[in-house]
This record gives sequence, structure tokens and C-alpha cells, in this order.
Amino acid sequence: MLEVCGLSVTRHHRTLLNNINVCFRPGELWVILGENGAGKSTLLSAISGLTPYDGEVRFHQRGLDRWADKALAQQRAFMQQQHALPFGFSLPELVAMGRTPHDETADHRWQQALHYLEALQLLNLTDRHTDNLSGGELQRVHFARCLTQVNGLSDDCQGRLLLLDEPTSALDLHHQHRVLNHTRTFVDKGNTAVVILHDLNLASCYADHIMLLKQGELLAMGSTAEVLTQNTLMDAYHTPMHISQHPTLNRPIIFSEPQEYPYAKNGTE
Amino acid sequence: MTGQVLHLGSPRLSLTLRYYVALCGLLLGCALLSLGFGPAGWDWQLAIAWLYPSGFDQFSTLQHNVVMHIRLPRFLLAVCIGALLAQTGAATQALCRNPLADPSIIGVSSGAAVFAVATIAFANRLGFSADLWLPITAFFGALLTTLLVYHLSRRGGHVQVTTLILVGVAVNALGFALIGLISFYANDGALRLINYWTMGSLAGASWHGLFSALPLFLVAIIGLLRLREPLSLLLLGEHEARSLGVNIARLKSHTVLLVALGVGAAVAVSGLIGFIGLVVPHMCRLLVGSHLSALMPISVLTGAVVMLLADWLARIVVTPAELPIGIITAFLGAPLFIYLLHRQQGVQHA
Repeated sequence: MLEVCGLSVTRHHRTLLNNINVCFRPGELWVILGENGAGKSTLLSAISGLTPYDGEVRFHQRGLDRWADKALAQQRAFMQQQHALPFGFSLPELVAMGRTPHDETADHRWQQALHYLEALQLLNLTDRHTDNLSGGELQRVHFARCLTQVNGLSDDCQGRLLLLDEPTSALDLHHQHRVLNHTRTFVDKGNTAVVILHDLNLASCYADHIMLLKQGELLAMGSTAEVLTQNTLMDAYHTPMHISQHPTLNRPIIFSEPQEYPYAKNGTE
Repeated sequence: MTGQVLHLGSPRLSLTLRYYVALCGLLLGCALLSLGFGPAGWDWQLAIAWLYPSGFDQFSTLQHNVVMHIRLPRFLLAVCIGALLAQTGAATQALCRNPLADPSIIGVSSGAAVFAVATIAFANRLGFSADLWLPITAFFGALLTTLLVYHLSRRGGHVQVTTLILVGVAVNALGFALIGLISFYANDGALRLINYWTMGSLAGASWHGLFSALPLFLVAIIGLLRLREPLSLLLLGEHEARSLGVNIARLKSHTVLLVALGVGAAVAVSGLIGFIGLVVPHMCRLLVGSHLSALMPISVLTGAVVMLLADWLARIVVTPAELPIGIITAFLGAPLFIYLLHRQQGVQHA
């Protein structure tokens, strides 16, 4: 359980996040939505304990700053937006790095890495190096690394936290669903995931709860049906929207309308 | 699919084991070469004579003394320096997340050299022993330069490749200018020593020098080896490493201290020997990949082998005289580095 109370982040006299209060419980998949620069990544890296913040963030009733680095790394994984790696690694090597916070033998790490490579359909690429992968393939490898870090091979892990910053931005449709399916399975075991997405329909299909941020403030928070409404989304994205119902899932589906240029110019994008 | 997973195992580990065996074989070969080779040619019996009590019976006292007091410490020193330079190179590259970073290229060695040269030139005039203070001053020189270069080339949390190399060029230029200035004020005896020493050499090896520097060598090599796992995680990026439980501030300060200690000790004993820290990790990376758990131990062995070969070449090229080993490593290292770089770029663009 991750409790966030009065979280604010200020950098260079600019408020990036203002007074965020939320509680992420086990068994919940949260999606954070919002325009560029709304503070999504700032929120995620603050609750991961990697960047300084004001206010209080408690993970399992203990303040984040009171966790030892290694103990925290055994419980939560953070997949960040990726940049190029300066050195090439083999895929099992890179994924096995996710297990370094756990005291395990190299062989055991390797087995778990192969398991998750298989789960993400990357096993046929194991003879390649990371510098020979496409952006989407590399993104799946990093996702596999983070999932390995908090999940491992045991099925009894609970209360773990998976933070994903745009994990599907470079993926094709099939792998977008595959990655979010794995996240769903992980959450259903009694863990928590907080995911930043830009695809509203993907968010609608997978989220239990949605947080909508705008200029560092919480604009809306609640279930998909509560947050994904026409007025809220138009307020957040300055784009004409229509909301419909998914033909098979009981979830909202969002259609955006192409805009005239002057409209876009007045908006943020 | 599951069967395939089990079958895959960890191929790199067994491959690494084969490299270890091959390198140990090479190291033994180099030992025979290094100990048995002299102006009179190569004698393998001389190379192994020290191993058993009656070994030197068939040789003269001169030969006994040459092996026991010149070649054996020189061999051990070459092994230590080679291992150390390769290791500090691999660690610096991980710290800067940049395959071109090497203590000799980014200016750390010349920083150590400035302090060491100043010690050689002025120690006797100021009334303290140069031998005793050389490793200490070289260590502080290396430490100051490492911190200077690292902070100058950091922009927004990242070490930029071009900035790092350019800062290295500037620091090297400044270092050599200072060495020139100090040489200007040095007396003739010190001048000869400085000149010989800036080109790097193992010719001054002695048991005394070896034993006084050995603790520093061991601390640096073993200390850096122990950091191989967190340093590997650092290659993913600072934030990634932190989210994997690495205490970045501690890791960085330990690495900088150990690299400075290693480079300082190496420079104090053998002068400026470049390119080992650049070329050896590159060669090893092509064999075992970038993960430092495999790369660092392999680099230690390869560094020792490469250094022994370079030292042997330094001894035979202009017999009976001897070339400074720094010249050999630069001649071997620079073209090989260009080739490796070229090949790596080819792989990346393929």
C-alpha cells in the first residue's frame, strides 16, 4: 500500500506538483493521464523515492525516506522513459539485472530472466544485443527487467509496487495489450501498478482507477467511468471528444475530433 | 517453449570459463617469455629455475641475480600494472557511461604525473624522500584530476562524451605544460628521471618498489572488483541504478577513490603507460560483453598478458637497449583502438 499525503514538488521556484493526495492499494491498477508537462513523470519519480519531494509518501506504513535502497528495490520497480544504452548487453543479461537487489545465485537470476523474456515473446532475440534492437523491442526488454525485479518466479509475491512511465509508447497494438496484460496479472496477485499512458482507450480497457493531472494539480480521480467523461477530458486536453461504449467491455471508448489549426494553437500542444 | 528455456541455460558463463583457461595459459606463456628472455636470447630453463631449490645450479651467479632481482620483480610488476590499468579503465568507462573514458585519455594519469614529477624534482631539495612520497602525491594528483574532469564534463546529470574527451584534452595539455615547467626548474639528475618516467617504464622494478606499492594495487583491484555489480547497473543510467537499489553517491565516491588510488600507484611506480585501460576493456567487451561481472575479471587477466607482451617488445626491439613501454603501448593501442571503434560503429550501423 502506497499512501501519498500532500505531495508537492518544486524545482527552480516552479511548482511541478501541488498537494497530491492519493492511496494506491494492493490489487489496484492505476493509470495516470494528462497533457505533456502535467507532472505525470514527476509524480511517478517522486513516489518511487528517486527524486526529492515535500509532503509525505508512505510505502507499507513506512516513509519512503526511511526505506533502505536495497529493501525498497526488492519491493518496487520503476520503468522510466528510455534513452539509449551506451553499451550493448545481451537480453538475458539485461533482464537478469532486475534481480540484483535480491540475493540469488547467477543461475537463478538467469532462469528468471529467460522466463520473462519468453513471457514477452523476446526469446527468439536472445542472441541479439541491446544495440541491435528496435525501440519497441528494447522497451519490452526493459519492461521484462522491471517485472522480473518485483515478481520473480514465485507466485506468492504480494504488496509489491510496479511504476511504469509510458511503457507502451513504442509498442505495436499486440504488444501494448501484452504488456498491460502482464501488468494486470501482476496486480491481480495482490500487487499495485501505477502506469502513465497517453492512449485513453488503452487506459479505459485496463485501469481500475484513473488520475487525471493538469498543470501539476489533480484534475480528476476515480474509476474509468467517473474520470473519462466528455467535460473532464476536454478540460484536460483542449480537444473535442466524444464518449461511447466499448462493444464488448463495459468501458467507455473515447473518440477525438480533428481540430482546426487555430484551436490547436490556443491549446497547449 | 519451456524445454527450450531450460536448454538455453547461461551460455555466456561457460564461454567465459573457456576464456579464463585460455588467458591463464597465455599468462603462463608470457611468464616463461618474460623471465627467460634476455640479451643472450631465450632460455626456458632459466625461466623456471627459481621454482625449485637446485634450479640455479647450472647457471652463473650473475644469471641467478638477474632473474631473482631484476626479472622476477619486473614480471610481477608488469602483471600488477597491467591488471590495474585495465581495471581502472573498465571502472572509469562504467562511471562515465562512456566507452572512450580511460584514465590516460581523460587526463587522470597526467594529473597524477604532475604531482609525481613535482615530487621527483623538489623532494630532495625540500628534504624528504621522493621514493616514499611518490605514491601518495600521485594518488592525490589522480584524485584531484578525476574529480575535476568528472565535474567539468557533467551536464544535467549526464557525462557528455564530447565534453569528457575535450576536458581530457585540456587537462592533458595543462598537465604536460606543468610537467614542462617543473622540468625547467629541475636539476639534471631529476630531469633524466622525469624524462624517462613520463614515457613509462618497468625497468626500475625492484622488490622494494613492488612491495611498497603492492598494498595499494591490491586494494584498488579487489575494491573495484567488488563494485562490479553496482557499476554494471550504473551502465543502465543513474536513475535506473538507484531504482535497482544502488546507493549512487557512495558507489561514485568509492569508484573515484579506488580509480585514483590505482592510477596514482601505477603512475608512481611505472610512469605514464597509456592505452591499456582503453584497449583491454574494449577487447574483452568483444569477447564477453559489457556486463562488468564478466568483463572485470577477464580484463584483469588480459591486462596482465598485454602488459607482459608490451614489456617484452620494449626489451627486444632495440636490444641491448630498451624502449620506454609507454611508446610500445601507444603504438599498439592507438591503431587497435581506432580499429575497434571502427568495427563497433560498423556493427551499430549494420
